[in-house]
Amino acid sequence: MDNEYIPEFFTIEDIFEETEDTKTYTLDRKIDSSPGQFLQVFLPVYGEAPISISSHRDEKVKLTVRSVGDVTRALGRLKKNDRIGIRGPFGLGWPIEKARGKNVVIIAGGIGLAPLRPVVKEIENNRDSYEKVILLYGARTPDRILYKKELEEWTKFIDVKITVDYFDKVCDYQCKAWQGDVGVVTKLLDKSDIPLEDNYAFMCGPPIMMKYSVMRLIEMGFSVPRIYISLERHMKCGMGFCGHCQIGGKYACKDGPVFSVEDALTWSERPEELEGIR
Amino acid sequence: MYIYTMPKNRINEFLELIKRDFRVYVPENDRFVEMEYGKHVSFGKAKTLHGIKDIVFPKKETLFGYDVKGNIEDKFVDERKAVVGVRVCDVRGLQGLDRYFISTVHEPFYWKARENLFIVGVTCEEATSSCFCTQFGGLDNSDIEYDVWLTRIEGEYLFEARSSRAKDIAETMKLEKAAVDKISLKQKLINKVESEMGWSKIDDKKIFESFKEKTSNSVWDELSDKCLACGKCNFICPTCHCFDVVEDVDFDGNGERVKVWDACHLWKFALVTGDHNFRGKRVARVKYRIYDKFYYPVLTYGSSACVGCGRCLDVCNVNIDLRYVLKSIAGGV
Repeated sequence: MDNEYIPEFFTIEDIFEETEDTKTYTLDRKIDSSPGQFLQVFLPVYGEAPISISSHRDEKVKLTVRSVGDVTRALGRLKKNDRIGIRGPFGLGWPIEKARGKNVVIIAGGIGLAPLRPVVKEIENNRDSYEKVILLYGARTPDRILYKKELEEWTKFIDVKITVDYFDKVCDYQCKAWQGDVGVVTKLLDKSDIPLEDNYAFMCGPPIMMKYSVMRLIEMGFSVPRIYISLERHMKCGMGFCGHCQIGGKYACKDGPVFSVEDALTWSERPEELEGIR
Repeated sequence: MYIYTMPKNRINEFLELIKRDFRVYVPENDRFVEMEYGKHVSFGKAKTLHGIKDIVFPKKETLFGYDVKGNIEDKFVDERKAVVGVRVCDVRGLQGLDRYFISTVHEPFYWKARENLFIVGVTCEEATSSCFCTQFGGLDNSDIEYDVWLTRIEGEYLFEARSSRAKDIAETMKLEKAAVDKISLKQKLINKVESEMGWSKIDDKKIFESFKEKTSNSVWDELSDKCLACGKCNFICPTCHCFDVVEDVDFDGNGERVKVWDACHLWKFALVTGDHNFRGKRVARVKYRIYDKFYYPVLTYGSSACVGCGRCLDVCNVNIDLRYVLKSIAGGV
């Protein structure tokens, strides 16, 4: 019998400290995945957690993980050459193929940038296939910005705008040097020249950020069927059996985690990420 | 389909024949237990309080084991089980579970258990006060899958053999073919039991449409004021299929990954890391469960996930009656 619950073990080849509580783990192998899919990461004794894939299929697997729960904190204590169990990839990702030839608006909040990194990598690999591409990224503070180095490189081929919620006077020098925007992501939306025709929007972040960003996009005249959001739930099995990630009868693990806002608005259980819209 | 008659006193012979190939589960008091040698088997007149869900989908099941060094051990055991004395609602419940667990990807444990399952049904002779299967097809077994179906008629069993294995058993036992009047007596029995239920069917479409409209109805607030959200109805329901996956670890660090039943009524169900709860309010959980019986499955699979067994009412601490909920949503109360 094929026991799909048994993970395959990968070795951690590299660990990069993105922020105080977030690290990017590069594993020893590639995996065939599409942007927006996720893996179930297993650590014996601690359990399993669903983690977005941050790498493009051309790269070795990268997982950007914030240490907040049981498994992710245990993951945070691992070192190079330690092994982790992997199941997946699971789920349906961003409609990156449909977005070919179109303008793309990428909106990310906090760790929500992790599942969108492979989108940027895909666009980098096929830059000519996409029109205008804007990445709007909100982090809580300057020292919590992920992929700092890469974000700079990305400015060479897409528009990148970053905002922070606030910055402390008494923190590292980087904070004091923050010259960029301050405020929530929707502020960046107002400031940017958002293409309203032939467009797609991909969004991932905390529920409240997604809710207001979707609202703002709709107000601006963005077509609802072309706004896609990633709904994060605690998937336990990843295969549509256990029921934990259900929202309005859909399973985030197999029908999502990426959903079109148009679909999600028709569900009789409104996802918290879209509460109060229309 | 072949229909035979089996004298009542040959039931043990029949069970022993099944036992050659299967672990046999039979009703005892309120639940199904493994048949003990020589013990008298009695089917009762109606459903058991506990169904057969835990025979194919155990409360707790090991997915795999591991040791401190990280070695994985697949602990799957291939078992052949037979359930004898199940009711139409039990089989409809299994078919409800099949929709969730056997689709494009198969839940490996359930799938194996289900493939190996031998089903012997019994026609109900009475309706309990909570029964309302007439809403979902009643006692007619022509649209469900089973191996043997027994109906007690005039001191004999009408023996319906649907699978080839069941036919083989009938041949081995040299059972006689049933006369036409016996078969018509079965229909008479069914009519009697169904009329006892006294449930006048609500049009399925009407139920669906009402659920579609009444997403923000006061009914949900009233219901969640009364409901304790204890999860008993989830666990007893033949089509509730949610489970959690947890670690069962000993002090040395050797352990197992196990799946255990979970319930969407429980507060913790939609809790995620960072103490965020997507269904923190009881009304959201109470409403969700009912929608996941009568609305979402209709959208996904074309029919509701309720079988009308009424077990949720049997176990409810505060006597919440789904029949009443249905009527208050779809009209009639």
